[in-house]
Amino acid sequence: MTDSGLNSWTEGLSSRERVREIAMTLTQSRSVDWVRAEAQVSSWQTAKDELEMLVEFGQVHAIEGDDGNTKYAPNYQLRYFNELTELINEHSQADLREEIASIQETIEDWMADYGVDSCDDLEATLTDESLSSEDVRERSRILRRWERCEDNKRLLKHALELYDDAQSLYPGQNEPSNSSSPLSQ
Amino acid sequence: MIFLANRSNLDRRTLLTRLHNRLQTQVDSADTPIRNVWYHTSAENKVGVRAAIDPHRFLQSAALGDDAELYISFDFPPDHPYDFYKIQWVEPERDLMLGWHQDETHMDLGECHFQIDHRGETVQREAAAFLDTHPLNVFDQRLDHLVALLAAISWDEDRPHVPSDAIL
Repeated sequence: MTDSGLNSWTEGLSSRERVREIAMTLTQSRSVDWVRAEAQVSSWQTAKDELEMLVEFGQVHAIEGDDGNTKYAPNYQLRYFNELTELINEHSQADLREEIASIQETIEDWMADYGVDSCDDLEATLTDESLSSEDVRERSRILRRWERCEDNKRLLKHALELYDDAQSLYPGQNEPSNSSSPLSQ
Repeated sequence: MIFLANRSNLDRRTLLTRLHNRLQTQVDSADTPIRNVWYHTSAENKVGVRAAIDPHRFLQSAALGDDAELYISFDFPPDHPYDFYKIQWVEPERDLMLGWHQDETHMDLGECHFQIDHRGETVQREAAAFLDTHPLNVFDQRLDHLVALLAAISWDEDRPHVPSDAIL
């Protein structure tokens, strides 16, 4: 390696691949031109064509922007199911249960530390005038982490609920020994 | 079943997965400084990506310790018009952590600040340029800045410091 640092994410990717990479990791709706610039692609038409193809395949949504021009937005439904699929295909049910228990343990520690029963209760304490500004900031930080944990716990629970059904549809993963319920039909 | 998918959590997980996978493909390559990549806190409960780095290869310098890590996390709060992130370089040996925070703390310094923590204490905190670009590009640009910043660290009475003009 002649340069220091790390290789750029654009290394070895074609223009279209770069557009796809940006489009599939959008965090809000964006114009063709924004995607084109972030993908470091000079041709507006190339960016537009690739985005239209992703819309056609349901990977992103095309919506009307405030200025009347089309914007491209993440397909959150797809993202949710992609996350579930990854959890189901790459982890055992025991792993998922263990992770839920571990998240729950973290949450219970916060409950004990702050004397609250829920994330909402902790949020309600932020208006407490006896707290110093540093305490408020600390609680806000914990609150954000708590919300993240709740989101991930919900996702893990959904993955467990769908686990057997989803696994039975995954090629090579549906041997009876891998499934906690016998295959029928 | 009540189905409440939090979009910002999905943004975060999607992006962390991409970043993790990109770094992961470089782990076995002889010409990158990445030794290992993992999710923090875990692949199931992903809130960040961490990578073990060979600092000598990263910086092409022998002035650092033998081990370093990158801590990367993103956040997309619906009540803020821009993306949050933390991109930090951590050296356990010297108990040194430095990097950029785009978050809700220290708003007096603007949308983004640079910070050095040494032995558990913040020893430098300054305003840094706000990068309103896609998180993958933020990551690239910050890693580029990091090379220059690590090279610019000076130690005054055992306290690290970076000249303000080196902070972007």
